[in-house]
Amino acid sequence: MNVIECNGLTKMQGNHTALDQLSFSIKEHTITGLIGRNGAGKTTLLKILAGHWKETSGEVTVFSKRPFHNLFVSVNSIYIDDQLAFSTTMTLSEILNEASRFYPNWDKQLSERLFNYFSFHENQKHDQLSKGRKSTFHMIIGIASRCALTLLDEPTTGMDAAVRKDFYRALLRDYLDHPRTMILSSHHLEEMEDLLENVLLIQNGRKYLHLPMDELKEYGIGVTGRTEMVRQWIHNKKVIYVKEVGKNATYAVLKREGLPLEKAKQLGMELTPVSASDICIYLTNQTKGGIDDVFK
Amino acid sequence: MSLNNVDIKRVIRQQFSYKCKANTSLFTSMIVIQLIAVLFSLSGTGMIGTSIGYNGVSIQFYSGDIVLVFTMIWAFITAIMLTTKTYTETDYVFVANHLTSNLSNIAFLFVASVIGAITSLLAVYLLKVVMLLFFDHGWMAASQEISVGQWVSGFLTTIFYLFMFSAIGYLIGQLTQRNKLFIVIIPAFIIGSLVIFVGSTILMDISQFYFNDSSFFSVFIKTVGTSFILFLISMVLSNGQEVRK
Repeated sequence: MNVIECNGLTKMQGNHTALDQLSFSIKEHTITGLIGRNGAGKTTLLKILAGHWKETSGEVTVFSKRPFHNLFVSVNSIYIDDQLAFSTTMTLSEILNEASRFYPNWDKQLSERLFNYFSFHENQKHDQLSKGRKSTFHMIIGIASRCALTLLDEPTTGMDAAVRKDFYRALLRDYLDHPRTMILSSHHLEEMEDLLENVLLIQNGRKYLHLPMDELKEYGIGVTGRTEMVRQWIHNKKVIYVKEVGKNATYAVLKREGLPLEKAKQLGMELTPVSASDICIYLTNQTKGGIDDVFK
Repeated sequence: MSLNNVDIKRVIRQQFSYKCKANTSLFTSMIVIQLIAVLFSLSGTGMIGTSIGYNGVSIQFYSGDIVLVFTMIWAFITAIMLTTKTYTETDYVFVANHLTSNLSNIAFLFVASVIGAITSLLAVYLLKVVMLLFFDHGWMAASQEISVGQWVSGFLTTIFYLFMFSAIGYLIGQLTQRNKLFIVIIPAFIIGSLVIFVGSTILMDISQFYFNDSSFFSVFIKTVGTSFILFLISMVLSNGQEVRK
């Protein structure tokens, strides 16, 4: 069953096209990573799915319903980012208590355990928390609410490495016990590789790729060799990224599909796998050259 | 994971009780405003004096009207505040849509009006106590003895007036949320109409219509009816608006 279906989803913000003819669907009980550069449209997409924002054109359905201000979608989904607003007079435990009354699947025991594990104090106020602590607290709400659709928009903002690791682990553990549909947007793809089943890569509001994680890992291949040879060999092939490395050597990333790799080996070129994180960066590279070229 | 069905009444109740807990600071500001009003009231609203030979009588009048006016202003501003981004965003962290957000706001404003009415009527007693304890008046009396029935109808009409002022504030808030130009347009409109209608009785007629009515039932119809219409317009205005921008 598809939980989310988008068909030609377009979102205009003033004159800027935030989402451009986006079509994809997401199956039930999967974890999808929403990957894209800054300003690619990740937050816009998630806010439309959460029912906060209205699509300009195209069709979007969540649980077979149009999400915009739909109460049924609202009760079965939760949108978490680092800007959740809470009353300044309520304590953290009061906020969790209120959240538990809104979400029917709320696991009180789990929320209390996570609350204690991350050593929050009951009487702390939300606006006294640091950026990373806020993200951690929001994450507790996101996990404990056990919504059928959990949308996490850059959930690890400000978290330190140890907390991030704990967070991914907690997410996975709870997902295995209580399968649900999750979408995570993040810049840290390398950390989430083991967690994600699918990756939705968007660029400039358009869908670039929607692949299972395993296929994404195999998507590209790195080729290193003498510059002339590499340049000649990659001619007429799908080149994703080229960079000169050292003296008279070039590193190129190509789409693996249909490449005569044996021949490349015979020519003395070195083949290396490209990580999912790197391939996403290379695929969405919008700049000409590298940052070094700016300083030339 | 199975999907949960949603009961709109339940969501409104939850949001209402969430708001009561989250917005306690609004009531703190109300108490402060009413205390200031009591302080202003201590100067009295009027005085008459007469003397025969060496003996003089002076009568000082005091009234709780200032408290009521201040509470109306508070209700008005509170309603505007509820429509601002800071307050609406807290709604949409959890389960909400336009309808539940607006209806729970209206319920909250009604309860705020009830509490405002109770405290502003009790503030009159505070005024009397302060008079007794700190002022050296020879003799004190209420201008009129009030029966229980009158007190109750006075209490209820106070609620209705406060509720109506919150409805006006809520509409102005929604208008300015819809378009920031209204921040300029509304004061310009009010000041402009004061200038234009300076010679005519239209403003007097409006205030007469609402405030100079001795029939409880007629006040009820006017104030609650006006509130209903204003809230309805507000809800239509906020419908279809995006949240958490």
